[in-house]
Amino acid sequence: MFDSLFADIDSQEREFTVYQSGEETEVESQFETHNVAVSQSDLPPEGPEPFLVIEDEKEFAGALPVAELDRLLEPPVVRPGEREDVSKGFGVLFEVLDETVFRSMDRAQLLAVSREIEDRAARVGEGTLRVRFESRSVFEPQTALYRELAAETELDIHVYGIDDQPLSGVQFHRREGFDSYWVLAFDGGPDKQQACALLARRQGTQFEGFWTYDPELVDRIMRPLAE
Amino acid sequence: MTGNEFGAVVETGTESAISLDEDRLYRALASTRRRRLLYVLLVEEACSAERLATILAGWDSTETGRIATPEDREEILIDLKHRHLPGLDDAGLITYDHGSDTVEIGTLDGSVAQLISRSIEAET
Repeated sequence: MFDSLFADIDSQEREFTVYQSGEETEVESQFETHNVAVSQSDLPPEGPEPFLVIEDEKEFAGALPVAELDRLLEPPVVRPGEREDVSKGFGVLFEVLDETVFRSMDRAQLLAVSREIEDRAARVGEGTLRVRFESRSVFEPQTALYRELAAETELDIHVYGIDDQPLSGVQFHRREGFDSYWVLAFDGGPDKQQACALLARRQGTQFEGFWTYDPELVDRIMRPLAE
Repeated sequence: MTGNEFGAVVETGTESAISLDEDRLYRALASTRRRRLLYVLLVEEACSAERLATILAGWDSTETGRIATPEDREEILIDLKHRHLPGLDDAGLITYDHGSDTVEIGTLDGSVAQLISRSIEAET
């Protein structure tokens, strides 16, 4: 279930190429933690200002000036609201930006990412939060936080992999088959733009995976847990 | 044979370098798109029409500040394949092999190359 999701993420074929005449741009480092291959193509010296060509599955999706990209990436990053109205290039660009991939993170780093998702769920105050920590011992220090989330928000909270710790307002599920996974997913409640999720799997002592703000991907992560 | 917008059609089999004093050269350079693609070819010597279309679409975007869409690029590609490339090929400035999608710069006189470069410098 999550394995196929991982495979899909791995097989995404997005390519960014920076066409440039002169100095190096920062595009490569800007997308270092994102699931995209960045390369560069040299143009003659009197050519245009640098621009970025976005390709998805080997097809041209868009080209935009690097200056414009920098402007877009300057916080606060304003995402286009309705995906359907957005040109294909921006669609791919924001999909790439929505997803942060990692090859090697430890438990403390994953807890920090988890905390961000929990905070966001707490701020929205409603919607569904589904959580699976990699082990019981990781969840235990979080008990107070989840007790508070249950008491002070309208969130529908589901915790998986633990069935013997009744915390009122939290639904615990003993679900098998997710053993090496660490999963947190929040559907955004009434505002899908608030959806976010973390999906990680253990590789030795470290974890690999990604987190995402893409509502569709969040939904794909939530579904196997909800079944 | 009458000339097209690029001027007179070059004699087939002509191997001599094109020189400055030819009217068709100025006609060829009358279009921004043609100046830019010639300039890219001067440096790259050969590339595909697909690559040229991508570069020209991106070049446009640096001026408008807007993203170039796949439709924008497709329009440029069609314009290249049906108008600019065959025209420049006829004028002897490039050779364009439709089948293999290869565009190559012709044998240009040094002053012609300079004129192309200068026309781009003047633009920016």
